[in-house]
Amino acid sequence: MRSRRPRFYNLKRPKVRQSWNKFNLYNLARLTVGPTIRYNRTFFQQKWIAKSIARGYHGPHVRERDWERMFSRRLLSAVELPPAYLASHDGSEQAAGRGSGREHDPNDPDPPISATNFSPTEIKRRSRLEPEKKFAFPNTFAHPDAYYFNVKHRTPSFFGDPVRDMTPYMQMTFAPLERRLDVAIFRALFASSTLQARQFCVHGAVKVNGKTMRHPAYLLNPGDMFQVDPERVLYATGEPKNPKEAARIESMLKQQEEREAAREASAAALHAAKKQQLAEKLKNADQQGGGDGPQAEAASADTPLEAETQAVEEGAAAETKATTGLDKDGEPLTAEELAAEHRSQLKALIRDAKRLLSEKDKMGAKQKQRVRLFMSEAKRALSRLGKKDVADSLEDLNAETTAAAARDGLMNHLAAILKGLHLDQQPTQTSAEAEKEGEDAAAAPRTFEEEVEALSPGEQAALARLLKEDAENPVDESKPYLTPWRPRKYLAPFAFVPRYLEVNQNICAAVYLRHPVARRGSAEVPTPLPYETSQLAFNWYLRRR
Amino acid sequence: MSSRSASSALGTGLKRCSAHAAPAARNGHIQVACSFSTTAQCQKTTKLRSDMYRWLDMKGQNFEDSQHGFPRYLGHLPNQPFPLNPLFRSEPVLDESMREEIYRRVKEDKVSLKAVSADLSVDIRRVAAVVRMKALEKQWESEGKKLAKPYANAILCLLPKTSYTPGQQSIHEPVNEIHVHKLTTQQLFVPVSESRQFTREDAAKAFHRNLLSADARSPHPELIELQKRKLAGVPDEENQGKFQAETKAEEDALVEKLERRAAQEEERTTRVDTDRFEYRFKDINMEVVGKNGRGRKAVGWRYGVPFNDRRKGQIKIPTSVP
Repeated sequence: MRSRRPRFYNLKRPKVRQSWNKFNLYNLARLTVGPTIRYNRTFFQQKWIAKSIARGYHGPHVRERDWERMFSRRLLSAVELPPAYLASHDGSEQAAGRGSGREHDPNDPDPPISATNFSPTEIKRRSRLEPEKKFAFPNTFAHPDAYYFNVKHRTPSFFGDPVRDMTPYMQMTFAPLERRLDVAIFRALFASSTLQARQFCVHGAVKVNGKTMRHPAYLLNPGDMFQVDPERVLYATGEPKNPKEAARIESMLKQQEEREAAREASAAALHAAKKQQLAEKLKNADQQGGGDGPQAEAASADTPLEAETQAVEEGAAAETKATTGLDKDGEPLTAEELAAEHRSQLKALIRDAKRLLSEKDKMGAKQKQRVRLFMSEAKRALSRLGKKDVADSLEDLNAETTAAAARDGLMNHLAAILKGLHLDQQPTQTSAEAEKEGEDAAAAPRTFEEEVEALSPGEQAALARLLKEDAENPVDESKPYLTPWRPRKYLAPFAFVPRYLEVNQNICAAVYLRHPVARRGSAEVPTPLPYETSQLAFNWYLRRR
Repeated sequence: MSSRSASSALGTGLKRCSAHAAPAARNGHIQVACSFSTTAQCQKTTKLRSDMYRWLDMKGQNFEDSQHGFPRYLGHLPNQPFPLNPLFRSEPVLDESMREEIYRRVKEDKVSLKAVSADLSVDIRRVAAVVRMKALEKQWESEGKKLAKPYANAILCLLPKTSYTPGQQSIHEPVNEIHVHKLTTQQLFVPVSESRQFTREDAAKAFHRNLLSADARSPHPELIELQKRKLAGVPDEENQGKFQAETKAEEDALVEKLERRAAQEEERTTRVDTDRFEYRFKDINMEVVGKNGRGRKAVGWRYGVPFNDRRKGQIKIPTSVP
């Protein structure tokens, strides 16, 4: 099975999967595989059912033949040998007496010599187990047979302790699958399911030791580092976008644009009428005086450079309007109008930048870079203007002024980038010009700093915090997940990282340290199955054909 | 995939609302037996689904919010993710302070990996992995590449952690673990005289003539030496100093060896740089192809030896990435 089948998360005949799906969570919570498969069945049937349940979780996307080839009956385990024990004993005390250590005198207060008494981790484990022994769920550790035995005969748990202290080899049955790249990605919490992890591999978003690895079936070697593109990880683990909400915002923006277009059209009509009036007047004057009319003024800008400068001028005019906060009629603008004004300004600028970029020959690489930087900054600003977050989160402060200050700072920053663009019109760049550019870049934050200094210390701190949060986790409509990013629902019960991986979440990378091993009382392979089910599954694959 | 699940979640939400409006329908009492029945068929939601949503509303509520996190799992015990498998527990991971400390000690204080591992009780391989990834993280930072900080914060909230507190010994995992060798898993009866000191070395020899003893297979032989000196009464300061020096010297020797090998490899290679490609020429020994022309270390294609890479069962997935 290579993809998700229709009833992959089935409620009627549930199978637990490697996934963070909430249906899967429910199936996992109500999973019971004790008596139903154990009693009134032949051994063959028991093994078949156990293997079927186990394969539903461990690599259902791996073909049975492939898994059979991977299966190994040699299960790995490790024991701790504390250096203090190895240094103080040569092991001969284990062979003393009749060959298996001297018999311990029950009246002796000192415990018998063993490696476990030297190990802090083992002592810690035992202390952790103490309260669990008295826990209200008697069958948590016991062998399932012990459970029925206890229920029937009302005797205290008898089989519990050995199960607690043994090395659970049978839980390691599916350890070879944990070597697979897609499973390891899921275990490192970079994907919400193994199938998604597989898709990331196939789509080329995964690197092993710095090289793109497109095979999800690649078996990791100890020491291999795998990386997943952080954007994919954020998409996989983040809250999904709400399509209804997105549609609502879309329609709002559309309406706003229509309104703006209508306003612009009316303004243009007014302008044209005025121009015509002027032309008529001039014509009259010409007829009277007989001189040449200033036709060049009325002619449209035909070169893109001129158009660009014109656009900048327009932008500047709009900016003055926005900063003064006065309407055409001299009335003060409301906050919404101000924001809308800013947005239209930014949009005009982006449009011009795009046009500039399309003129391939006229610009050098540096200039193009600058234009691209400007475009991305402006776009981000545009998306941020759409949200009211900045104003909302600053309840304790004078929200309006801070928001306005931030906006002005931004405009200054953009203006600085644009200015840099005008300074180096020549395609060849000298070092002096590069220096000048650097100065400009330095100049922009200086003005911003001045603005920040005007705020009170509390406001400054809040602004700094806000800017940091925003820089780390910005609102960005272009992302395929909900922004600002937050973890998806029902993630907590699935959040664990097995010890054979070391994960760095900041760069979405992990190292496969070693193969998973079983230790006393614990096995490293994450499996939802109880011991006996794994044992039955192991026995199924053990058979010789 | 998540967008699909989102839409399905919406759909189920709608169905759920209608289910609340018609409780009788939800319980599945209405069943159309006859084609002429005017009763509407129960299309809203099944009992299984409504049970699931009831569970999600009651017990599942506990797991819904993953933003303000602390570790919480389905099992009866606090660190048990799978209710039926108490043999797997969610083990603590190294938190940011611990990773920073490891990186600082290795990169700035130039302490050997083994010394760091022994001091912080973290596996040597884990220490190396932490340093490797931290270095990459620093590189990303210097390049101005964006880190997945919000993701890291959210995930680390949901995991149990081992953190570093100066002056406090934290135990993350056992450092001196050895694999259980295949030969040692069998039961063996070896008659020896009663007076004989039958040590670990002897036991290893009894299993197989080439099997090393547990002491020799230890990843931390210097740590055993340290403990031996401690038992012999060497002062602590001197003992630690010696341990540090030993491990550092070993590591330096290893690094030097690797560098030498790389230099030799470089010497054997002739690089020709064109503007598009860099060609690397090496001398190849043709003898390694063997009698059938299929030697594993041989390079290139040989005349008369057919490829079998399209044969059934030939796996073309790479087995290692250098």
